Amino acid sequence: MKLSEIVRELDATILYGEDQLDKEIILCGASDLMSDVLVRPTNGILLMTGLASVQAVRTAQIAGVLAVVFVRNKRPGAEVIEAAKAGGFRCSLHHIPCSSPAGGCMPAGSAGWTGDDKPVVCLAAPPADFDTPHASPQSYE
Amino acid sequence: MASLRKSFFIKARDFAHAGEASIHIQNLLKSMHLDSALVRRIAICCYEGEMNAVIHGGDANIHVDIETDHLTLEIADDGPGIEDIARAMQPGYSTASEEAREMGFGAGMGLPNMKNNSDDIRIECAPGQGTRVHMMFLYEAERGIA
Repeated sequence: MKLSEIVRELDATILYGEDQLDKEIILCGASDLMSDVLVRPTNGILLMTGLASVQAVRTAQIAGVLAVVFVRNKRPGAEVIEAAKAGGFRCSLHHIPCSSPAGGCMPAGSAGWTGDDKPVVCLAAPPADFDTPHASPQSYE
Repeated sequence: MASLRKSFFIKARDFAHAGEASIHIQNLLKSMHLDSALVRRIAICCYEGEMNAVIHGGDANIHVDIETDHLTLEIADDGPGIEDIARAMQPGYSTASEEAREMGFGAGMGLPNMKNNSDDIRIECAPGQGTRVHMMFLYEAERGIA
């Protein structure tokens, strides 16, 4: 599934890496534990996390994650974006105003893992308690 | 390929910069066109070690020696040392502070990750005398898919 399709389906705000949207996402994973991210296979993966921190970005870069989606209303500050730029982070960062647990926001048709080690396959649209989405994605300099 | 050494100083509890050295090493190894799976393993070990030093230890130094057929990674800090290495190697065991846990660390997988991703690991420490973790990575080691 193309990252651009996921961004559109989640109505995500693009924070960084707008030139990465043609990447193919194979798996989605959700975790707030950095070591969990490092243990899992991360080839072609999109990471959903509620940790909007510099460490989350650096962990994702070390692990080889393709894209990061910050969930649970956790919008990263400018220092997080700067950390991605400074590290030459070759993936994109996104934000969605979703109050549901990360595992409930996985895009339709995707498979992946959550922090409790159960495989997740989301066959439906985002849950009914999804916050009102942004009108349109916005680039972030 | 001639041997190459790179060294980095890590400041204790400097979370704003924690991980930068590991990313620098990762980018360097990528630029040298080493196998991507190997680079990932080395980067994970370095990052886990760097974060351990920032979270638990005193100031630290990371030394990377890039040889023709292997790479060695040493992370040496002047922190409190590890009281029980065998226990610290158990997945899930952690002495991380609440501050570290709020940043997503402290799951107790640092040392196990380092052991699983390196081809050889040696830990030298004594309580109150710092910790030195020495790892080796063989370029031709056969492993499963990461």
